[in-house]
Amino acid sequence: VEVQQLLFYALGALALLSAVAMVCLGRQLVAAVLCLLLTTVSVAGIDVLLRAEFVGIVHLLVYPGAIGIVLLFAIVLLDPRPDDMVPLQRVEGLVKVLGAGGVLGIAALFSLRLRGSLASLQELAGPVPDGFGGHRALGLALYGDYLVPLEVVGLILLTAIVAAVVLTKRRLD
Amino acid sequence: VIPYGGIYEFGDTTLSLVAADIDWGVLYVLALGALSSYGAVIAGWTSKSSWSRLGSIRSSLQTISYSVAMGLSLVGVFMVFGSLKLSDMALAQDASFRIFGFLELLGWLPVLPGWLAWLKLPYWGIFLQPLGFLMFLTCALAANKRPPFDLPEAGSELAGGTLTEYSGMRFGLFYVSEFVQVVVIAGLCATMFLGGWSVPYLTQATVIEGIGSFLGEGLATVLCLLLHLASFFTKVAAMIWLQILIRWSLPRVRYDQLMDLCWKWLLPFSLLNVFATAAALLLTRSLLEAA
Repeated sequence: VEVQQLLFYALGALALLSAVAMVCLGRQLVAAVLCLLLTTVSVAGIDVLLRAEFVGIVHLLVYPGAIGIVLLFAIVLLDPRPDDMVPLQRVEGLVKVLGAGGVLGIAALFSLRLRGSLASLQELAGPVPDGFGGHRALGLALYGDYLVPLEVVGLILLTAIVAAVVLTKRRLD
Repeated sequence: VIPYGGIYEFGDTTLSLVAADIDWGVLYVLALGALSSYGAVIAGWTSKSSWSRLGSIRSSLQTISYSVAMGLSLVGVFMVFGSLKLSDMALAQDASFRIFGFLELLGWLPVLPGWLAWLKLPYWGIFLQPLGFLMFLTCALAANKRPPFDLPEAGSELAGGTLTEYSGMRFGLFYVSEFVQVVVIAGLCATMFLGGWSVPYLTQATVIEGIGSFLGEGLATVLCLLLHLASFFTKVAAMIWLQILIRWSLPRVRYDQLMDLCWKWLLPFSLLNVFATAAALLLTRSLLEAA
């Protein structure tokens, strides 16, 4: 348990630090993308620690494996110069910092309230059932209990793809 | 992750010849393969040269296109063997099936005549999923960016592409990683499509019983282990040979041909393969239950 906790804190710190670094590196796009990837990789590591190994590996496959490459592709293809980009307004920056601070504060409050009750939460959840987080359990849940929501999500995504094609096509014409 | 042998019992102890036997072994390999393409993209980007930038654009686009098709081309294999675990797949392929057994199953012939029943094939992925094998091999070659799909490097157009600005040991590292991938692809193909460590027509039980009757069971198990190791490494060597043969026999494809091949051929056909496999599995299962 000790090693797992250490790993959890290390991965959590890595995720937070690389997320902050990504926002700070806003102008150096390739470095920012790499930081984003580091965040997703550490979140995948946390998934594995939570015994959701399948979700973790799919996370690794989808975010760094596909989405990160698409982002890099767009950056390398368009090669935006720093002067092309709209400079950050001071007010806008202030709003962003305040927003991020607010979210962090709420998270800190929650974690303080939860600190005493974490152990009891674990007891409440009981032992993890066999095969939990595996592809079989996940597949049965997705295609059995939650089939209709899954189909709806698929339809929404399809609509989004079609809409994206239609919108960009009109702009190109 | 890739098993180079089966599970052997020596008295009380069991020996399993796979380093890390994880439930989603294939996905792990695919995920690491997808991560490996960052090397080429970042290398091209940091070179600050036009050749390299073109190379890294090509590299990123090629990787995302082909990793989609590669994943889909493997779904059929997962369905047939009912597992994502490479050792389970290899174990399942340690068997054989009658080629014309489906005639009996469909009820067209009550019992197969002798010579038809005698015709058997090993229960290998390449015979159960021939289309899947071809598509996986194509996608793997393309994802590895080796000729005929070496568009990111393309000596004659891009003067080396992503690798233009690299020389000496740095270039050597890129090159070594490419050849390591060749071995990994060969291992994956051997495990998923060529029966892994199994010897065709001779299951582990048959071998151990056959030799064990006059040599004793312990020695027979050792011999069986050696036989399986030899079988696995022969298959891997054959797949490496095939990849190098392809590399030196085919001319490089044009970029639009590369994209056409992926999105217009491999992707639709791998989806069709998934549906066809699902239908075939459902049909056999219901017929087996009825029989």
